[in-house]
Amino acid sequence: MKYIHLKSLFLLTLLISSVGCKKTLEDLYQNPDGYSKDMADKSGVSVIAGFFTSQLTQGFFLSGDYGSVYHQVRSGGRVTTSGIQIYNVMAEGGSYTLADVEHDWGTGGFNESIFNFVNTQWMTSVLWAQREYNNTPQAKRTNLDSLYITLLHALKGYAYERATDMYDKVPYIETGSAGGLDGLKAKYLGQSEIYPKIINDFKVAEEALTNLTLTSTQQASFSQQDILFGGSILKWRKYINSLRLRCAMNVSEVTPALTKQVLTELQGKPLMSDFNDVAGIADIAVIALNRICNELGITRSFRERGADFTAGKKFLQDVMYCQPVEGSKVVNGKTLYYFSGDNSATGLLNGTVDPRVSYIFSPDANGRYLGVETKWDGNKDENSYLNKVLRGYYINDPILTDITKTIFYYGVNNSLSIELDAASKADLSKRESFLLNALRNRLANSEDTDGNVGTEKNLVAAYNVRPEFNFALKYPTIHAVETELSLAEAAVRGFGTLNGSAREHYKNAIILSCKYWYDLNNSNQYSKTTMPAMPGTMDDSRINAKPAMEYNASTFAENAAQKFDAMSSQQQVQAIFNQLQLHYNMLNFEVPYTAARRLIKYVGTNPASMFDKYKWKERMTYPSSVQASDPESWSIISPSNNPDLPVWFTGRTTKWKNVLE
Amino acid sequence: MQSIKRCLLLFMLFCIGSMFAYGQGKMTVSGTIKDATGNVLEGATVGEKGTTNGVLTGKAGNFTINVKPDARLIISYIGFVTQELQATSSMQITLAASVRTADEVVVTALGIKKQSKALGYAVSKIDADRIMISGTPSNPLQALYGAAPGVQVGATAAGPTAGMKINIRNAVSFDENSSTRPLIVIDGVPIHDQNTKMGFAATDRDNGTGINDINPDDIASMEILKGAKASVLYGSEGANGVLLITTKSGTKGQGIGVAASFTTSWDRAAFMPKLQNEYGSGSSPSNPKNDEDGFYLVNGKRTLAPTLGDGTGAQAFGPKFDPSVKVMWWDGVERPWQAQTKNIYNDLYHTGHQNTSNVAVSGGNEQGQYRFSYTNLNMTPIRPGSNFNKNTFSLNSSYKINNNITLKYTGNFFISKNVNAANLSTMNGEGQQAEIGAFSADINVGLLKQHLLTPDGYNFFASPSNRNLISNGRKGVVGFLWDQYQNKSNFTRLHNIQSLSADIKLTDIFSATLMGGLDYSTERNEYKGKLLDPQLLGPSSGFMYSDVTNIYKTTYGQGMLNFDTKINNDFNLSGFVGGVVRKNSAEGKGASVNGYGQLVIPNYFSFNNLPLGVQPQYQFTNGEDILYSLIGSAQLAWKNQVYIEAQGRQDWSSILPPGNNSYFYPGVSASWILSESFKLPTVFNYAKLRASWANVGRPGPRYFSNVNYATSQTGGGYVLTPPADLPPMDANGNPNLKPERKREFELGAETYLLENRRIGVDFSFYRSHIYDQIMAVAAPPGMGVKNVRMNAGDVMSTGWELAIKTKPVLTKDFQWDLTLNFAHGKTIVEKLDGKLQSLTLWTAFGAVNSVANVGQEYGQLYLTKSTYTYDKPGDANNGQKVVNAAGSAYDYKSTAKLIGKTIPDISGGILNSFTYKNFRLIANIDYQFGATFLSGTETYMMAAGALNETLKYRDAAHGGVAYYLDANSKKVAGNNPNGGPTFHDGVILPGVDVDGKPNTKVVSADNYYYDSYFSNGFFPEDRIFKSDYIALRNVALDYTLSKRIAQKIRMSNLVVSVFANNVAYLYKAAPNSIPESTNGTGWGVGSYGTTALPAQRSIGISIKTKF
Repeated sequence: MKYIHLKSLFLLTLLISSVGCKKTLEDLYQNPDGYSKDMADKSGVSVIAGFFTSQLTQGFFLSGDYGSVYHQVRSGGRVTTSGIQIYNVMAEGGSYTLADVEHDWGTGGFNESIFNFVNTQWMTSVLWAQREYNNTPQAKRTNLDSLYITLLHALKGYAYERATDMYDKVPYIETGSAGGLDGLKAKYLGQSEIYPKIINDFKVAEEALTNLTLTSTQQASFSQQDILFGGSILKWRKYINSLRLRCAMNVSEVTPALTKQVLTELQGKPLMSDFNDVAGIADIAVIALNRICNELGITRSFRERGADFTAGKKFLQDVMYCQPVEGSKVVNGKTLYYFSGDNSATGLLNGTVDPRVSYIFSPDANGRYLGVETKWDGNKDENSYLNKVLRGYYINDPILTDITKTIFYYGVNNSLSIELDAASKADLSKRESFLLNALRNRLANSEDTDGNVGTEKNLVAAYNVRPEFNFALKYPTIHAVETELSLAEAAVRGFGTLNGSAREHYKNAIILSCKYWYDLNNSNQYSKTTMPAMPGTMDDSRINAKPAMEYNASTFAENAAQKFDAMSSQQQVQAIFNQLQLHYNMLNFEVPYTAARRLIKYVGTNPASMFDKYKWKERMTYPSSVQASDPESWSIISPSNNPDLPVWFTGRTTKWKNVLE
Repeated sequence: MQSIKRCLLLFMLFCIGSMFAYGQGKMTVSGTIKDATGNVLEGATVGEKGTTNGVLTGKAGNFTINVKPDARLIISYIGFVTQELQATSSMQITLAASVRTADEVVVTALGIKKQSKALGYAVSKIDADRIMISGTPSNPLQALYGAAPGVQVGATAAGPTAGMKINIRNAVSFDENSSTRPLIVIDGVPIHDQNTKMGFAATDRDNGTGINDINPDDIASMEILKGAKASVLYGSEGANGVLLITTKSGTKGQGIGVAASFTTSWDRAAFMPKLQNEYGSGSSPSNPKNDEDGFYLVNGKRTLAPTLGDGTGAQAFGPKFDPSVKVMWWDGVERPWQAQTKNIYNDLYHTGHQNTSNVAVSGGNEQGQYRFSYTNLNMTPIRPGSNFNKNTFSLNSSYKINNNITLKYTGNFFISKNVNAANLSTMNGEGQQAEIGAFSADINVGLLKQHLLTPDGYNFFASPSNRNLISNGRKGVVGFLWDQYQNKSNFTRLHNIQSLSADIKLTDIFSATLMGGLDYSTERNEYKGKLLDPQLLGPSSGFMYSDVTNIYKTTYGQGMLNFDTKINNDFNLSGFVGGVVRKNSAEGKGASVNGYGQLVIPNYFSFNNLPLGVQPQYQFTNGEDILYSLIGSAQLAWKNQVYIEAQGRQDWSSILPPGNNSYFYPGVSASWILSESFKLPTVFNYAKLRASWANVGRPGPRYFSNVNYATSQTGGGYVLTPPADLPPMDANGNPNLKPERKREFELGAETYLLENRRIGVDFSFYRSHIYDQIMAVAAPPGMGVKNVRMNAGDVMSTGWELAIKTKPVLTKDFQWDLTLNFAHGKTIVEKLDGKLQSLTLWTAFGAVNSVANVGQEYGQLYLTKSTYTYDKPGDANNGQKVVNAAGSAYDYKSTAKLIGKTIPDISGGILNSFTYKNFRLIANIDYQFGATFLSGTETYMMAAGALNETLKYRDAAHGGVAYYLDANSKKVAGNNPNGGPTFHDGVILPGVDVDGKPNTKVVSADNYYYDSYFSNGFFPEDRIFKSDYIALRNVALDYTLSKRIAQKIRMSNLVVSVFANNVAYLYKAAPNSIPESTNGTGWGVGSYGTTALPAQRSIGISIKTKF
């Protein structure tokens, strides 16, 4: 009996301890800092809604990304030249030797970021939501579940559009599939296969949204989760239709019938049309306040690439009609030309100069909106454009005629100076060339700005920091201006006329762009003392310098439209491209890059104005890691892993070549 | 009542030292002591056990001593096995040389002591004497260089206070979170141990891990369980092998002994790259910024180049030094253009110094023993502004309560403080320093240091008005000096390892062992980054305060019921059954604020210094796992000739998914003492064969298979971000993680040859499979997940190990001990997930992948972009290297090229010990061959023009080609026909362009070196070197004071040593780097280095004495 008690006690202890152990093992399995599906289900939290919002916050999807934008400004700037890297056009800054972004330390970050994004971050939330949706019995799916999955399909299409534009063949996950979560491996599809699919996905999404009704509770919940359009179904429809139009135009060179079909189908559908119609999320909405200025977001990349933000002659003079005022003077027996200023003061007021001159750009140290050409300036032509810009600083200064003056003062309140060397001090005839070379050297070595944006010391006009450093700026992945320009091009090229003529869309695009850029200036609430703060090295005056007024965009747009009227179709398409590149400028590299490549055939040359010394690049190359992770697919894509090979939608097989190529 | 008993017990334990009694009565004993060859041994110690009474033998080996009638004598002599004998009036004693013998007792798994001859597997024992040959290393793992075959250790670029790599038998994993480090067990308690590494962030410093704390002076022995069977009793934690550390305990019957030691050593930067000192910073003379001689011009004046745009133009490619030329410096002083230093490393680093003082009190009698030790280590590393201090308290005591119960308590308490340990930014090879010329010979470190601080305590060079004053290279030096002298990284660790055990004799057959232990460490990592300049805002202002505390706790309990019974005259059965419970937990809490504006008052480092409404960035981490185990072991011995052992462990781990969390780990082994069974030729003094098989595990990372969503908020909505990696789960989404497993069989043989066991040979052959390996497989692009996490892989390791211990010379006065260790291994990837053929393990430099290819060796290194040759068969230029369009470098394509592997083919060590009378000279050599190490220093310093090798092409004498600039500033080969300048730093790379035409493009040397060697996106192929080396790791000369003299000064022993560590590389394949300059200890960061931090050589003196 005694042993029975003992044994029972022993067994009971063993049982209790084993149950206790089991419970402990199960409890400790779950990460106390982790949130699981189980926990969500128990508290009635919709994971699909959470995944949807997560998708909207993914890096570089609808918001900026420091690394990617850095390389797109640096390397992309060498390809499409939205900003001038002045050290690449001057002998003083480097040599006149053929260069390309493929042999550069930043090539990996530049080439591979979109590919890596589309294969991971840009798909992860879509697929997890899809898996959840697929696993939810039909009867249990709510209206919101269907709405989210519809929008995620559209966002998936947008992701693949960006990816296929850059690489042509990319691994593509079919709509409705949970991809890798179901163990499925994506197939590499090219633009010819992807575009029809995503154009159709957009169509299906638009139809679904047209027929959707939400209860007030559902609408309230959706409004909370939708950080892109605040729960506006109309805005989503505009966005999706505008993406559909973008895609249709991208394939217009190779499948014009599809382009025409889309134009026809879009009749009567809402499109992005207001200056506020922009698909983008502000960095400030997704990045912690105390990190945004210096740590993350596009502002950091702009700050670190400050020397790439010089203004180009093309935009200022050729597109926005800000004309330099030229003068000449005989020095040492030679007639030397110079730019004494520009016509912006009167032109902005009377509508002959684009208002965006004062919204997007900042003047140089002498208050002039004068840019730089992309052609190589070897300092062999005394009257080169650059020399005329620089000569304007000193050519009428007494230092050239008064032997007693040995220091040249210039800039705002004469705050900048150059001291003559001994030879020039003694000899008036040497002063002109000395001062020109001194200014050229300052410029070539970024000594005028110390590589910073936003100073008042820049010898050449530069991009304006006030709109670019507006932390509330929604990263413009697509904007109404692009939609207007697409409609204009479609009309010019005969793909269809929608909501007006080419002229009207061209004009409207300019008006919308003016309003957009003015608003970015006007709404910027940030300074060196706000939170977040502007970098301390910035000049206060430029951060605080609002445009003097909102100029009459319609008057200028009408003037521009009249010039547009006089152009040939090819010139009109070039003009449309110029507007696209000017509008997106430093904020969006990919859209103008895609447009430039597909328009080379139609325009007959490269509509982007390349630096003389950089090789043109027809596509991005793949990460070589694919070779290890997916050798089977590598064998498919490696033959086309060549930046010199035009992509399908260009309709070309021959690479466009630059001067030195 | 219970607590009173506990108090009493503790009191008794601590009072053991006062409980010894001594006997009375005398007799005279005389005798002679000889070695096995008949040589008399002069200076041998003859002591009466339990007393301080002792004498030394004279010239003829004779001794006379008065002892009590029933005394036992302890006879000892360096290099011989100590004997204990009953005292008789006349004694002829022969001492055996102290080679490891078959009867030697070694500590095995779970602290079980066994005779070496009964083991069916290899165990390497490192004794205290071996550990201390390198003085008192700050990390005990340093004593393992070349110490045991198959055991590889390595320091890192972070220096002696940082973590060290350790790997046994090429343990590999497919996921760096799945550590390959052995389990480290101290006095029975598994301690928290982890890989460490340097990062770029101010707080990412390598401060080492728990093993760093262990004081070598307190270690009695280290046993290394290498194979699966040796560690099978550790079950799911045994796959990487086990390092058992036993701390010193008191000894019976020698009275109260005091041992004290003092070691002092000096460290100097060593094995530096070979720098050129003919040219200073700047760029090619053909650069329009410069004059024809290459001097940078400002307003026509020769000037030191300031910060230049785009990070180029400030390398050490400036003009040749010429003291007759005056150059304007950044401080407004004109100075002759000449080298400012012979070696800038000597200006950047100073002589480090380490003092270690140890005092230990020990004693014991039949009832109990104790040893209390205190050690203070104070080190000033070679990096200025750094400091390391450690205090160690160690108590080891045992008490026999009665004939049946013995209690043992071991407590080690460590307090260490590490100030300004290194991180990757400390001497970043990649960005700020090496690339842009921090090693230019024209940099005057002293001058920069002199100007560094403004009167207000800010950084003179960081002021916006001065930010472009100096070259980027000088900025690198300034950054280093500022970080070392002005910023403060304070890392403190309070570490506590305690264990209490009880041996209980139940019957003649049964006994029980109970053990409980704790490893508890608190690490506080505080960083105070000083404000560089009040005009700067945000993180670029340098103003930062971070204070994070991590607590790691391991509690461990073990209970065993042992049995040992003689079945009959031939058979003996012994073993145990028992259980283990082990709980690990980690918690981290802290906050940080980064940037002026986030903190209000400059250089006031407190969270009370926040602007209104601003909160610091908080961080919290929590983790806990538990392991329950049942263990069992049985050993059958036959006539002391054959030993067969079977062991097993059943584990239940919370790391694994519920329902899938229980696994069994079995093992069997056998040993056969041939020399007992057969009459072998007399040359064989001892011979044994052994064989074993076992299956052990590796737990994998905590929460590895959890499917969790990151939560956050944006706008009004909640964000659930799914994992980027797909966790191991089945088709229904249920986690299905299994433990990683290793099965291994091992065959071995041991023998002692010749009399006196002059030659000892220990040979092992093993083959293991590490399977069900956890891996994060980079998903083929397009699956929507970054990596697919699974456990499926299988890696086969085959190798053999040989240890030879010999005494080539053994005479009366002179003895040469030679120990050779050799290990060879191959590690082949047998399988990944069954479908995959290749898995990328890690990437570095944006250009190198370490890959596991099925059927190939683990860790093959591939260049992702490689140079190529013109491929047109029949063409005269077919096979020529293709030069890029600019002519500045060889072109490359995205084509993988095999360049090496991470696992060495062979490794080992050679230990020489020469004893002449009271002198002993030790030389320890270790070596490794077959692996490849990637050094950023090797390539960045080429790009920077810092290395001596970059003199090539700089001028005509060094092979530079003549060229000039044409009207368009294009470089044209040849002399200038227009009367303008001709430059002589031209390079025309032999090769062809993409169309097969011979390359004729001339570029300047600085363009060539920068484009060919600045390795971000590619890695230059001629800078890839093997990590092969033969290092003279330690040299030590000991002098043991004659016993007679020692006794005169009332010491029982006094040893004075002069030693040197990291003495020299007798051979190394890489010309400018050493394999120890890695970024950390894990298998990824442990395979490459990106810093220019130097290694160091130490010399020192130690005095060890006993009273």
